[in-house]
Parts: sequence; structure tokens; C-alpha cells
Amino acid sequence: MINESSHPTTFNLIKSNLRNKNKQIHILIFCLSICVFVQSLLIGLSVGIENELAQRPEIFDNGVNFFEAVGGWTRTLFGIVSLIIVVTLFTQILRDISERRKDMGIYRAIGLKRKHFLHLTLAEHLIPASVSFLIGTVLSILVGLIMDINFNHEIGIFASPFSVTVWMLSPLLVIFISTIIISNITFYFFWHLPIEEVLKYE
Amino acid sequence: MNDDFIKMVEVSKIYKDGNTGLTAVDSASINIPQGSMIVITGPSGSGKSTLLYLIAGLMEPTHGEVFVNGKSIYKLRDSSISRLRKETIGFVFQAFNLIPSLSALENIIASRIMDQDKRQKKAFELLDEMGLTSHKDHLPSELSGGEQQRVAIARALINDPDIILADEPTGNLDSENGEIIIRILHELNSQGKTIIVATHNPELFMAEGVQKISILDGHIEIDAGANVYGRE
Repeated sequence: MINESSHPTTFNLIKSNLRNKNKQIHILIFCLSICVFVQSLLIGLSVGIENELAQRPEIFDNGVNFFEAVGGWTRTLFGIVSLIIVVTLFTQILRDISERRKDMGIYRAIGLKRKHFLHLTLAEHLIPASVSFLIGTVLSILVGLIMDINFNHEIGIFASPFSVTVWMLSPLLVIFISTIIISNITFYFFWHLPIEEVLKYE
Repeated sequence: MNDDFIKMVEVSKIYKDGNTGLTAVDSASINIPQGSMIVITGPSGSGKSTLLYLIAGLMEPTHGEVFVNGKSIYKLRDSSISRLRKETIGFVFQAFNLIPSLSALENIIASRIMDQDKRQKKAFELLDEMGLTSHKDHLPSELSGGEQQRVAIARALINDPDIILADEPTGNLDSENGEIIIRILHELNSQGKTIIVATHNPELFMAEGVQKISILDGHIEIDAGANVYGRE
């Protein structure tokens, strides 16, 4: 007798598709390394600024617009890191979707619409990205503690644990938005390949 | 009974190979009545699978039109042709084409990815009919060829389609499993479904009421006396 409580749901299907461990571990490690990298970079940056200010207190006295200067620097740095994330994500998603061409052909042959498979693919990338983000956050906080960050410091944008957290959310945002945009673009290209060609592909 | 349930009008399919073209189906015109069982036979590369793909809405013809239940399917929008493949046509592949990461039950219900709940009872019934109840959580790699093909048939039946197309459904199976698949297809035909099978071994499927279409180098020949009819 079948246990009907174990009936498939969309979530179960996504979970089942995540069974391909090699592929998903690869995505997980990739997202994790990006999270740790970006967050450590930002925390390291805050330490650097603190040191700079400790050694050159005259920055404030000379009327330099500190926040503007620091903001410009970090924005440039964050832009470069974001670009690295986007390019690497694009490569990863392109490879992943091209590896799943046959699955895509099967799903099309049994009548799924493009949006259905897109939702599935997005979820499959966003779930490991979120998990790795959480792990990445914990790891980078540990990195921060090792670097002996003083959260009680009363200057700048890294003055409180809250502001550090806001910065930590940035990589997640970049990963989420990039995944959605890149998956759509990549997916559009592959979806229009002829089904019979895809089904012959091994 | 609809005599023009599936209708092909002067359909050709030419595969491009560099600057040359290979004609897989050449000006095929046939009408297949609803509820019939047709066996398409011919040697490898004769165009059997191409003919099935054309009827299934999986491959656009180079020339001509394919009608299913009065609709010219290749004039439909992408979303409409997806609905046709989902609700009207069930396709059984020779190579099974199951999703390797999904269990037997999940594969059966995969086409209802957004609303599985509505079809779960049907999926359990199909598993039972196919004798796969105890294998519902098995991945395709954990199933034998015959079991995989039965899952593929269950998947084709999940939306209760009017047409079942099977491309060499016994091609990768031993004789015992092949007989089970043939019996299932005959039973489905007796329930009123239109069954079209492409096979090298038409004699395996021949029974009373089963009609044969031969195809050679893309040219179709319909057996005399068959209810299916072609046009010159």
C-alpha cells in the first residue's frame, strides 16, 4: 500500500533535483567561497579604515569628507567583486543548464512550459546559494572575530554589528539578482533548441 | 468517432546536413481515425521516429501541416503546443527518457510540476496498474529496463491523453518485459485511446484491428484494407 502522505510536491521535486550531489556541492562551494570572500573583504576593509583613522585622526580635523572618500573606495571594490560574482555565476549557470539540456528536452516533450522549468532551475540555484550564504556569514563573522574587530568603535559605517550585517547582505543580494537574470538569459537560449536534437544529446 | 483525428497533409521533413539535406519524411499525407491502433514499421533510418515526432508536436515539419483533433498544431503558440503535449498526447520513448534525479513516482507526475496534488491519486493508481507500487521511491538507475519503460508509460498516461505515441517501446527490453508493454498498449487501445507505435517488429503488435503503415526512405505505404487512409 502506498503511503499517500509522501506524495510529491513542488518542493519535493526541487529537493529531488538537488540529488545530483556533485553538481550541487560544486554550486554550494562556489557560493560559499564568494560569500566568505566578499564578507571577509568588507570586514577586513573596516579594520583597515579603523587603523587608518587611528593613525591619522587629522582626517576629521582637515575637513575631508571621510564618508564620501570611504564610500567611493568601497563602492569601486564592491563593484569589482560583484563583477567577479556575476561572471563566475554566468559560467556556472551556463554549464549547469547545458548539462541539463536533456532534462529540459524531456520536460518540454511531456508538456512543461518554459516558466515551469525556469522556476525549478532558479530554486535549485537559490537554495544552495542561501544555505551557503548562511554558512558564509557564520564563517566570516569568525574571521572578523579572529581579526579582533571592535564593534563598539564609534566611527564610520562599520560602527555596529547591524551595519556589518547590512554589508553582509549585499553578496546575497548580488547572488540572488544575478542568478535570476542570468538564468533567464541562459535559459531562453537553450529552451529554443529543437527538442529532438536535445533528446538525442548525451 | 472522428476519422480525421490525426491528419497529416503533404508533410515533409528534411534534416539539414551542411549544404545538403536528408529527406526523412517525403510528402506524407495520412488520416488516422480516433481510437485506432497503428503500427509504423520500416528499417532503421526510414523515418519512423521522425513521423512520430511530427505527430507529437516535437518537431516542426519543413513543409505541410499536421492536424490533431482539427487543430494545425504547428500554427499554435508555444504555450498551446505545450498544453497539447501535456494533455492530448503521451509519448513513450525507446530510451525511456526519465529524469535521472527523480523517483519513479516523481517522474510520473513531473508534467504536473505546479499542481501535482490534483494528479497524485491518478499517479498512485498508475503505479499500481503498472505493478510498480513497491518501486515508487526508486530512482531510474535502480529500476530494470522493463520497469523504467512502465514508468515512462505511466508518465505518458498521467494526464489521461487521447493519443499515445510509442517509439520502439520494446526496443530495449527482453521478450518478457516486451510482452507486458505490448499488453498494456493493447489494453489502452481497447479503452478507446489512439495508439501509434513505431517498431522494427510489427508482428509483435499485430492483432485484430491493428493497422500497419510501412515507411521506406521517407515514403509511406498503407496496407490495403486499413482504415487509415493516405492521399496521392
